[in-house]
Amino acid sequence: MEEELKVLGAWASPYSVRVQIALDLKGINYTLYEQDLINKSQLLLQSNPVHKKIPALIHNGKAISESLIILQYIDETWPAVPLLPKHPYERAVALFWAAFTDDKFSLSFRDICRTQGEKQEKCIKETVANMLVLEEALKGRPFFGGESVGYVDIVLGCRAVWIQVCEEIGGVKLIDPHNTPFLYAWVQRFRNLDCVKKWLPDFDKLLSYAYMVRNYFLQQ
Amino acid sequence: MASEEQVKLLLIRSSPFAMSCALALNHKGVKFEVVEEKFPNKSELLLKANPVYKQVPVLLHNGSSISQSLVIVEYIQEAWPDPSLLPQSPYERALARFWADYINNKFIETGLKLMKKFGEEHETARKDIVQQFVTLEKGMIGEGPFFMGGRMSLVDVALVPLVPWMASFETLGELKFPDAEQCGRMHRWLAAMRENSNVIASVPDSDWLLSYTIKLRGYISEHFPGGV
Repeated sequence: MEEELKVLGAWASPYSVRVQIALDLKGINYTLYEQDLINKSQLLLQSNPVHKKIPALIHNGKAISESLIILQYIDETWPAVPLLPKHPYERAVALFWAAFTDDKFSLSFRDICRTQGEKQEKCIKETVANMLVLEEALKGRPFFGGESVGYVDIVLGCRAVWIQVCEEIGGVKLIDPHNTPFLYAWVQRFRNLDCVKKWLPDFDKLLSYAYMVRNYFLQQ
Repeated sequence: MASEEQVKLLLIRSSPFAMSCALALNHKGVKFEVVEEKFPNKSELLLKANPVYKQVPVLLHNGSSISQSLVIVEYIQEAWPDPSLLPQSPYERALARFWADYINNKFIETGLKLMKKFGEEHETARKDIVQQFVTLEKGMIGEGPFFMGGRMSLVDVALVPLVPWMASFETLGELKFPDAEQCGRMHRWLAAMRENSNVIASVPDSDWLLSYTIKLRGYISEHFPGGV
């Protein structure tokens, strides 16, 4: 059967990037449609009427949204190069850490970039502490997935350039060889993968974008 | 699975997330021990089992600990596959996960705000909870009575707290959810859930929950005027 796979995404969004990385890692063909997030397309609104957000995956006309759910769908539909472990407990551990990174970093990264003073300080402090938690969770393995890249690697790793942007705007190191040596080595290793190099945004481009958004919010 | 299973669920009775985990276990016919935490004191067992969040519920299974309710429910689904709480096809599974996620992150969170917040945040929660109830009505699939159709799934497990919470929402939120004429599927869902023996075994009594929440709300308004 003729497979039709579309991804509605946005270059700066880690949620979109993680879907693109996962598909490329598994060698799955798809067409990427870059979305205008201000003037949302009919296709996007139809594909995700509840949240009206990217990313959305459209597979043979059926739309799936929420990036973590999309990743699990991809893993179940194309099982080669598995993202999640088979064993129930190990699978639960992966689901836990992925949810942890999104829970802890979605808002705090956003706020490091959009705020200043005390509010920004608080976000930075929490983020530094949470990076230490992840450092311990990695346990010196090459990847969170073990010997090869997996679910948690993709869910956290898609934020790699945003981490650098937060470091620049916040004037702080979030991942460094001294305090988080395992994470530091891990992020270099992750960024070296072809499927990752292809989709992580360019630092200068992302930093410009982040400053534009920052200036907008600081003026509010 | 092994015949000597040790399954414990650490919880507090009022926790909506604990209700979901209990229902998943009961649906699967898993025998488990309930360990009730005496908040605000957190037991050694809890701190050891969930060092990252230090929250209930936590599932302990033969020495392994799992936390975060949707992670727990997915674990229960994998560890005891029958009867299944997930549909067969990847697409329907994604749909079920989507709604479970919506319920957990939006609906239940709004419910908690309705119970624990005051002033503007409470007002916003009052409006949001009704809108979300309608969104759920529209999201329901097929004839029901369960969310995805004829069989209970992850979505019903996530939404089960609404069953004992309905009275608390309407009383403390001073609101009325749309009736059976406007939201027929939701009301059929509630009726089916209320008479389901696994649901009954997994949730506290509605009246108990209302008086507990009234007391909690009184305590919060006294000590934390904006809410918690």
